[in-house]
Amino acid sequence: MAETMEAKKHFYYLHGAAPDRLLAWWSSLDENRGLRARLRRVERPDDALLTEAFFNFLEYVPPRWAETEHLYASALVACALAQVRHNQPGRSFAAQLGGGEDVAVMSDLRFRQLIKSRTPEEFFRRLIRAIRMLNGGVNILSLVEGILRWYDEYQTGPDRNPVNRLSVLWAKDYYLPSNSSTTSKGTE
Amino acid sequence: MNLLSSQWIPAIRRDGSQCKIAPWQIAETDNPVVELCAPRADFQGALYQFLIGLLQTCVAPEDIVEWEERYVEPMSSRYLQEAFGAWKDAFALDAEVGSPAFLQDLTLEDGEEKGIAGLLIDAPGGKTLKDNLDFFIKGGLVNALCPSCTALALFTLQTNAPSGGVGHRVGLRGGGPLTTLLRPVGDSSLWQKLWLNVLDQEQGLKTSAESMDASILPWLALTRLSDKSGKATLPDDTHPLQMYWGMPRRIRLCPASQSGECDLCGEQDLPLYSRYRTRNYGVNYEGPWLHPLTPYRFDLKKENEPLSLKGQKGGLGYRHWLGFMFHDDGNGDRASIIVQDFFNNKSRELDSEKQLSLWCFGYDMDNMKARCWYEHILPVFHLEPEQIVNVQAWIQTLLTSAKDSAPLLRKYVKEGWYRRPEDATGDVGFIDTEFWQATENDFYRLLGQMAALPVGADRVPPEIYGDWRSVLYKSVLELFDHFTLQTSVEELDLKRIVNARDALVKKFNSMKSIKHLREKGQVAKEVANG
Repeated sequence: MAETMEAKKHFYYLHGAAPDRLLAWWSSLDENRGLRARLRRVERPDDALLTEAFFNFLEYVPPRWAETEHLYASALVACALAQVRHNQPGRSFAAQLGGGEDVAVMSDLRFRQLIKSRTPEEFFRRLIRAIRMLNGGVNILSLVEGILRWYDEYQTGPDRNPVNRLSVLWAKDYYLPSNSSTTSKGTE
Repeated sequence: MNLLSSQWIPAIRRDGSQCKIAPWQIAETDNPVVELCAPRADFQGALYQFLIGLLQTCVAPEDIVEWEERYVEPMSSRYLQEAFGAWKDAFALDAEVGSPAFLQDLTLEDGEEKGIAGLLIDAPGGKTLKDNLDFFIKGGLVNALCPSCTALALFTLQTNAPSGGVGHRVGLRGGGPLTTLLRPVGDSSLWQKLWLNVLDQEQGLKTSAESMDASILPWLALTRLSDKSGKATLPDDTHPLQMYWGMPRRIRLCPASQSGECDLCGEQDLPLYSRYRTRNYGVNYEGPWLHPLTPYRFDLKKENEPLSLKGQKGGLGYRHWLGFMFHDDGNGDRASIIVQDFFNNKSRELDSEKQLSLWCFGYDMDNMKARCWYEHILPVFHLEPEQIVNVQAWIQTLLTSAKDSAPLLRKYVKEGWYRRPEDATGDVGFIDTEFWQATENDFYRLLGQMAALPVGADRVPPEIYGDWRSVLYKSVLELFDHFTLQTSVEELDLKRIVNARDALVKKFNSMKSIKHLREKGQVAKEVANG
């Protein structure tokens, strides 16, 4: 209900990572431009796996993130965050792509391609493009949440309740940014 | 076979054994009959009405006191046998033309000869068979019927008769009327199941004639024809008891010519009826008939005559509860006389611990075509007269908001589905059906809470309104998601769906009836906080 939703703070789904630790690692890249440059240059997330920057990243997140089946998702997150220039909390990542009242930052066609990505490589390429379109200003925690959900669905299949699927969640925020679930005025 | 003395009624006794009984045996107390078991659902409903009509016609109680005595202790079967025996001559299944035969035209000799399957309401008609269009219910499956099934088919047709072409008249309540019968929940004898639906004579159905009379049983005299020189039959033209014995169709069975296995019930070695003759322009019932077992819709402006309620697409559900129990001011539906009588008189006499239900059934007819047969059980609550007024107003509020929500859901699901929803044809009534089913349990839960309030309570706890609003909101959204997203979502036009969903939420919250629920619900919070 509208009344209860307003009071509730959005709780990000981050596979156990502490939000401030993630943000701390991202800030630390400012001091380590070499590491950041290395992560930005990768063509595929695999390329990051053996870099010093990635090992450094794993120290900021729970051990689960370093397990074999999680490594690829972790690399996706690290490489994506390396592209972010400013953290802009408030609206969710997909709502930022939607652009609110103005023309959408990312076109409808590109957005639909993004949520239809079939392989992690495809998803990664389109995601990096999205971040660049936002001129590097994104809601970092929301971005991480999206990446982790995408990878979960990729590995274990989509949620049985379609409303919980990433594509539906993102579509809601992208097409109706003013109702974005992380902004204060939720309608549900 | 004679319907009053032969053993032809398929029934089940308390020990579970199946048998065939004569009507008077419904009052037997040793291993009594507990249920009827007709071979078809429409026959079952008709058989109940046949026996109720018989009790009402022959042995109706004088007043409510006698009614109650008999409910607890049935008449002796010997008494019943004698009482029914006086009417025996009118209930032969076949007889020489010129002598009365049950529900058949007294003198019909010529006329179109038809296969016996034509008595079955869902059977494909002549043209359907000729054009090879009997897709769902095939022709040729029923060629011969035993006397028991023939009698039931005849009664079922005369009771529910749809319009059947030029001059083939509809039943007294129109084609495919709904019937609502009271039933005890749990163990009960057949006698109680029937007697609950019998009116005492003070309710206007006095048996004036001590014996058989053509004003009650129309087949005892020449048929009141309705051709060019004939006329319609109005309530004032006959005895009110004719409502139980309406005969709109002119039919005469051709005598049984063979014996063998019945194509419906499978009984062996019985005489079989395979043909009947029929003519049009039989009794044409018109005017303000009010059959005691059927709810009617009254014109809210009081300009037109009441119309019997019929089976309709979408079937029956709790949205009919108010109209079938009391009256629904939203559309003018009013409970049948038997249900009104229950709340006015009988309810007081009965043990309020014993639960009752209302069994509703009937055909959904599209002219001659049987679209569907519906049956539904509604719960009955024991309510005092002063409670009824309140409960009715409260339920009306809940019902109005639900009736507003269902079409809203349908509209926006279509908007989610189609680029041009207004051009999309096709029956999407199943969306409404899902909505009614999804909210049914909660409706009865809240109704139960209202019925349990003390008799003097003139206000309902306001939480109930808030509760109902949440139920509707949750159901509408869950069903929207179910219908629009239950597939490979990435392939959908999510923009359209997300926008339709948003519009649905906004529209829902701005509906008058929903705002009304919200206001009523909020009074609760303020009172509690203040």
